[in-house]
Amino acid sequence: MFTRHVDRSLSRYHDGDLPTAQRQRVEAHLTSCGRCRAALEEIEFSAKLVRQLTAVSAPPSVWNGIDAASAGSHRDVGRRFPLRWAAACAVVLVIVSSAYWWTRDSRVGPWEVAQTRDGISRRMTSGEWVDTVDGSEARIIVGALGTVAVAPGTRVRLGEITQSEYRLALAQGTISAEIVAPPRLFIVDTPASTVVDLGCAYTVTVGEDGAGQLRMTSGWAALEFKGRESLVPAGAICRTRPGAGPGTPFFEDAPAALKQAVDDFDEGTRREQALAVIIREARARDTLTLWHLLSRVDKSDRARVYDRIAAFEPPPAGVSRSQLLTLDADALRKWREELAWKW
Amino acid sequence: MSRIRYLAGAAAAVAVVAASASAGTMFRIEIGSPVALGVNKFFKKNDKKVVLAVRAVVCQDLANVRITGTAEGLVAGKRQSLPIMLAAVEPAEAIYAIHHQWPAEGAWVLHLKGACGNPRAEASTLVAVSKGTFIREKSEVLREPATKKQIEDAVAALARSQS
Amino acid sequence: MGASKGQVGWGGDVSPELLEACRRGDREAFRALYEAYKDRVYSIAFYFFDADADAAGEVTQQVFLKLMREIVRFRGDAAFSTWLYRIVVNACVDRSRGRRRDAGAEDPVVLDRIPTRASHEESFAQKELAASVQQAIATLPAKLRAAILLRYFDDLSYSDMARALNCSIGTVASRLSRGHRLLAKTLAPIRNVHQAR
Repeated sequence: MFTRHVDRSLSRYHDGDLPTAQRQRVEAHLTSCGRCRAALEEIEFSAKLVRQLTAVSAPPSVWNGIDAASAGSHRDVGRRFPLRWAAACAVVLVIVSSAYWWTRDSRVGPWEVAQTRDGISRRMTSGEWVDTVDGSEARIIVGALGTVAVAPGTRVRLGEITQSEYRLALAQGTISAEIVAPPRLFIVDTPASTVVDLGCAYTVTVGEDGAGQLRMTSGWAALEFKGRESLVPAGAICRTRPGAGPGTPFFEDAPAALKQAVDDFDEGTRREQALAVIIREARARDTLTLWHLLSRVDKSDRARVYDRIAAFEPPPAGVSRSQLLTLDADALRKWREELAWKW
Repeated sequence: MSRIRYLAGAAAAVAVVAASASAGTMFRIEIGSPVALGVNKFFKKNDKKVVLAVRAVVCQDLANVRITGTAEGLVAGKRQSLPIMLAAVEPAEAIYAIHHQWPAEGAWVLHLKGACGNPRAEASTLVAVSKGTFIREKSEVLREPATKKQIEDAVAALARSQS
Repeated sequence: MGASKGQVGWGGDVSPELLEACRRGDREAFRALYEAYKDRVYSIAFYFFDADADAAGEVTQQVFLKLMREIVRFRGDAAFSTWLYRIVVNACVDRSRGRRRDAGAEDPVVLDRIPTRASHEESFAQKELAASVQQAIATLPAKLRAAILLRYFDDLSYSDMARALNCSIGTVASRLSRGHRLLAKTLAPIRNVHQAR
């Protein structure tokens, strides 16, 4: 008997785009056709891999080109040039030309560093240190990605530059980054954690003992260390401790008692009392802190943390209490995305 | 005369019904961290330049909710208004992302507004923004359209707090 | 996902006010439109041309210049993004016609660096994996490559993709199926490593 294979429908089936009757026909066929099942597995495998690709930001030079090329065509449209734009245009041109100057020179060498000590901008290579312990300040140009301001009293090592990442290693002191790279392209290593840049602007500080703090001013970042991860959105702070990695993030505007309790909890000081304070003081926005605590508290305390979060925002449909209490990764992710509407 | 009074009364009644229908619903425009759009999902949902996530809630017909916005600002004492674009993330669920589209200088409040077809309702949200993030405690989620006074007050208050 | 965006007069993800402002020649409005879409357009072109930043920049520029010129003619009878992506795909496919790589040959991708590092360097391994996927995509025939990138860079529904690619939904499905299966075969050497995660 001639069997009609369904490989042409498998992509739509995988993406949930088939009408019900057709989907049921495909499912019935798959139960008895190894060839089509194998084809579906190929599609699933490939789709999963393609999702690994990350977005790439268009560099400023693209807009420069459009701006320059369209100056003539704008007049051709016969519209009066809006006065409002004329003023903004001057500002944009200044910013663009500055960026262009930096990027033009940074293409010649990997790192461009300007230091107030001598006022000279120079190119440095991977492995060299930028040192402002003498009280000077510095600015590191990260290729075309953005800039890092280096505060006085800081030692930061310029790391490797590859097509897929730029790395700095902050030994001590404070740096402030404003980065326009695609996610995960710019990375800062500290003694206690690695800051993987997922967002635009933040400050990283490392003390002499290697302990540090990440303060997000826009976008968000992930702090990672030996499998432990903290997600830090704009307006939040995360401390890092050598050997322990990223702490529990909290919002800067959280109640003082909660912030102190988070520090106590992360340092292992009176954890039970600290947890009680966090649960009591938490606002809806502090579900950021509570969500991270789900995987950090003892199993016996997990239900209390769950209940507190659920009072602000029950888990979404399809996510159960038991999944969350057993720290199911997918369930945690879905709940986090729902909770983030309060962050 | 009595006919005019009747018509005026009817018009007023319609206005009251319309206003109460809107005010009586929970339809609103919510705002959230860009994390709400999914940190590890593909591209659009972890776009670095997203300042905030926006969604309409409590509406039976989310797919047809239209959310639009303007950036209302005060720059060096001069009042400005710019259209802003909302990027669709999941339009069937009325979820959008807002990228940074306003100047760095000055005080800016985003005026977001949306309309729900079922139940019939309109709502506004006023979002105070600062550079690449939003200031939740200075933002207002309203269950009716924002008035001009509310918008002007929000912009003025933000400008005062920043001076 | 997969929701229809076919509302007439509603540009989907672009407000009518912004489109109208662009049609009037308002530069700030066009800049806002550019800022909202530039990275998606650039990324599609970037991966279409195997991480060639110059090609991606040129295609992106070309797309937005065309948009600027023709937006006066856009009446909102289709979703704006559908129209935009048709311009993007045409620009990529047209440019690729001059390139030897797109003669339809499927160059074997040499995957000599299978990510097998220890798990604490998972982010590095992921980057290697992404590079392999990127190379594999670049070996696909142009039309299959366009379908894959369009699907995964904007979550377009099949019907929107059909409009953007100017073909039937069946053809879109067929291109995606064939594209995925070719990628799976090309990336087969890392399949076992990946599935172990």
